[in-house]
Amino acid sequence: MWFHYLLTALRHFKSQLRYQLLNLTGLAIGLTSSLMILTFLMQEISYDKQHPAISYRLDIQFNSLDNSRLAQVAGNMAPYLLQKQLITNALRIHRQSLTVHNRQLVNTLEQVAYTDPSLVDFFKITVQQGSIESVYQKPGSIALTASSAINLFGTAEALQQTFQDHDGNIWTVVAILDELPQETHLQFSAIASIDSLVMIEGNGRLDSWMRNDFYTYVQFTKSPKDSDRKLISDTLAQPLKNIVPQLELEFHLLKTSDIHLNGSSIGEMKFNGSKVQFYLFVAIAIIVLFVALFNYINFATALASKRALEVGVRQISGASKTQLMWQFLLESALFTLFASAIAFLLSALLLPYFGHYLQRELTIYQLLTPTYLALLFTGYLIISVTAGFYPALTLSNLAILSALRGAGLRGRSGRWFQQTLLFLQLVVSIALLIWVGHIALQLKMLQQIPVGYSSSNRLVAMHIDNEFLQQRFAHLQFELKQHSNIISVSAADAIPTEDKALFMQVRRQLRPELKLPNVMVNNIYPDFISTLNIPLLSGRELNIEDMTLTKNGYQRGQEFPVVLNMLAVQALGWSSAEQALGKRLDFSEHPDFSYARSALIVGIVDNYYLTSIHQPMRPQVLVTGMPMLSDASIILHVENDAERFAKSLFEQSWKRVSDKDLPAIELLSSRFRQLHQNDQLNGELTALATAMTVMIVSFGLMGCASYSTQRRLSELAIRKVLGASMTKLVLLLSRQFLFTVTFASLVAIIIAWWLTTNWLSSFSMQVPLNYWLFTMAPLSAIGLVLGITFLSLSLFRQYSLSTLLKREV
Amino acid sequence: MIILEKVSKSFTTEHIETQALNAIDLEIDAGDFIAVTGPSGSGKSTLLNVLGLLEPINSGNYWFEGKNLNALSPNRQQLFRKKNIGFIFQNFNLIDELSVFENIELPLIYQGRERKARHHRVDELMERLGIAHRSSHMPQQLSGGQQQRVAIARALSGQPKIILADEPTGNLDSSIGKEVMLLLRELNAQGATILMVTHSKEHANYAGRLIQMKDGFHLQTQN
Repeated sequence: MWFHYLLTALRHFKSQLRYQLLNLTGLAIGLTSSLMILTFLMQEISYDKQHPAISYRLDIQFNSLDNSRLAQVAGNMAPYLLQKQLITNALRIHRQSLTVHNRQLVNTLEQVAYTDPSLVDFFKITVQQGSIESVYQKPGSIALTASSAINLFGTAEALQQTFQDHDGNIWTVVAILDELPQETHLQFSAIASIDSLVMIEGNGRLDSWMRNDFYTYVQFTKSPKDSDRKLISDTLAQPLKNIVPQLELEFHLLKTSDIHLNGSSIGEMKFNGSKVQFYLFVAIAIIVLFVALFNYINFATALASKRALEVGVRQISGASKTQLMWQFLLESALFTLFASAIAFLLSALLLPYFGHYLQRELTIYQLLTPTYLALLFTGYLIISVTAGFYPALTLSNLAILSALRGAGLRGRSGRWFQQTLLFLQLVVSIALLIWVGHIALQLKMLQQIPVGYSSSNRLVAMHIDNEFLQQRFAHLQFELKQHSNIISVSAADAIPTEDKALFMQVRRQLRPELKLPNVMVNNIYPDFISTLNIPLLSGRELNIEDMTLTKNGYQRGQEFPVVLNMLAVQALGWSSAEQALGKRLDFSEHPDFSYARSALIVGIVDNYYLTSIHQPMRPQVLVTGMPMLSDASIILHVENDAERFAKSLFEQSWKRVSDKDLPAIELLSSRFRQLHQNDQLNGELTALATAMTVMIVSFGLMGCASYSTQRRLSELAIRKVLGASMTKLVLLLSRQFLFTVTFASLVAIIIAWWLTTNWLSSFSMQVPLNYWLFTMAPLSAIGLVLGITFLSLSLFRQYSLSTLLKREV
Repeated sequence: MIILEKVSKSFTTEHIETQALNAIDLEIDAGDFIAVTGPSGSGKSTLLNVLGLLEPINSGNYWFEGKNLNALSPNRQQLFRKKNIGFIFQNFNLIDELSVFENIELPLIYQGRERKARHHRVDELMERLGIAHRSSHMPQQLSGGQQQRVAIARALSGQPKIILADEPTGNLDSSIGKEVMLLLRELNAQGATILMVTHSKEHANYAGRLIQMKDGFHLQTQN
């Protein structure tokens, strides 16, 4: 019996090959997209699930100024919470680079993680050689990841090798680690102990309440309630409020496994995922899958009408309703299996590209785990039954006599069902078209927003030792400026697009009540403002004399020059740039303004975006000669089309002034684009999903229209003989679809309006609703219906009228 | 074997009631070959559909070997039909996607017979009806007469107690029609009970008994 069903299904597929292939393509496209998106989503939720225990990261949020939330807190926080017994375990991680002198070579180990020994209680770290415990036994012990070991020692055995750092401390490699997997928010190249941190820089950082530079993770015996969270926040805020009574701040606990999708604080270890993108993908997967399923059901029902006679014959040959139902369900299962197999193969081929696009490593092997396979199989069964149920039910319930007469599924309810499915597909497609149109317009507008600086023709060289740059900048600038292709050269602790900052306290000297607690301070090098073409509103920019002055005088308490942006000027109570120029500020690392220095405002610049345009612009103070972060970046403004040439000039100059590794050089404009790649990506993917939806719906329409033409061939022939023109015939055939498409357009316009206004409201600057899109999307759908109906009439033209009238087709 | 007692069947379409069968009485014995004739609309096809349990009756009784069939549920009727009734149609009604062999095998599959037994039975029937050499052909590859032979073989395959044939020669030219009638007579001679609806007086003469109908009434019976 089953073999017989199988045989019939295959022969049927063959006999209606063209329609079946159209249908198969539609379903396979839908399944492929859903499968690929599912792989991505499964990976997104798998981040940091591999660790030995549940933990939380402590974030600090300053409410006094602009609600900036930082991923790192001060070194004193974790021991304080342990001492108060509010947590059971704690881990601090501080990352900074380490200069490695190995024989004659000097290298930089980026992002060395200085951690507490509790690291292994929190995170799964796989050791290849040596042991992680030895890292904590003696200061100067270090565990390298396999790739760092190769960078430093090449192919030679790295374990037990020693090297010196910049200050002459001796380091020993005590373990080699596996590379961190992709599915973690952690990022480092080596692990050392907090004692090693003390060895290289003393206790200052650890004992601070104010220097927020430790990623701090905590554990509890049971998951913390809201009251526990509040208690922790209040407990930690108290010591800070004792120092600065007016400070408003709170602490948040973010579950480690949620960091990838929810972590968007300043100074995240790496570029995390996005919850918005996650939900967008879920929506796209559901929409595409449903449209493909509706399409299949509609198509299958249309094709089934040709099988009425077969059903009649089977019934008089003794088939029961259940047997017929099984037969058609099996056919659907088989068809879905074909489509799934194609989708699986296509996914296997396309997943690496899709992953590359999303900057993830995605492969089909991720689908080959027992849980995932079970999930896929369940999904397959649900899709088979959902897709096959309606056609199977309709066919198995046909009355024998009407089936034998070939009356088929021309009943009213069948037509209603088909029209409803088509209606839903059209609503989704038209609404998506309108929405995607607005996404494209909005993204285009965002790209054209003035960011406050010029990013084109700017090259940046990053992660350069700040101390080194302080000493050699003038030399390097002089070397580079010899070349006519290089217009100007500068550097800064943080260049635009870089998510790093140091915060200090600033107040007006004559009106101390007007202050900026936690204002972002950036140490820049001479010509920074002109190199980036930041509009100078008043005064002058910081120059080499300022740099020397500050460098020499800061420790002695001398006044130093600063440049403010307009937001800082306004926050300090001045209404114009001119008013602020020449005024003095108190400048301190401490919230109580102890050890304050006097600063003179020598220039005012316009505001510019520090990172992405989603982050609001902030008040900012620019200083020079006062390196605050361990790394800095160099910026070159070069002639048009001279980027490649300038890059090689930079490399030559670098070799002349430095024995260090050549830093990586990038285009500032591409860094800016990378920051907005999620916007770009979301826009492109939604557009792709829309294109697929429209394609699937077109397949469906094409199938339904040509099938309807096929069924009405003799009627069309009679009409033709009686004098109907081809245009009349197109209108006649499309009438049934035109009503649906018109009604669907009305509903889609309402949905699209709601969707678009909601989506646009999440941006501070919005494009207006585009009525052209609201008109064109439905009109294109109507055009599509007419075009497809016209194409379907090619079937009619294949036969002579006499053949059609004899009904021999 | 079959007794129809005062069987009536009417159809209502848009407030017009058509009396297709009007208190018909009919007896069919095992081994009968009956031809039903009459003008269009006289109720011939309705009689056949009622006998084949394809249409329910409005009143009267339908006895089959002592069992009152109109008292059975639709499911039981379907099971009864599967075991006892075979059909032959004017337009053959073969399934295009199945070969000659598979078309004949179909009722046996639904009866749940073993594969070996099925094959034996189909081979035997094809041999008997002279279509063995067409076993693997598809219906579209056969002539009208051959297609009807396949349909007859399919009707016989489940070993029904009665074969109902609806205009079996209606779509065939006269010589092939005659051939099919000879075949039906031969089958009847071998023991098959056949009730055939036909327009053709000539073909009706092959039957042992002739029933003439008009306006839903059973006019006369000739032996």
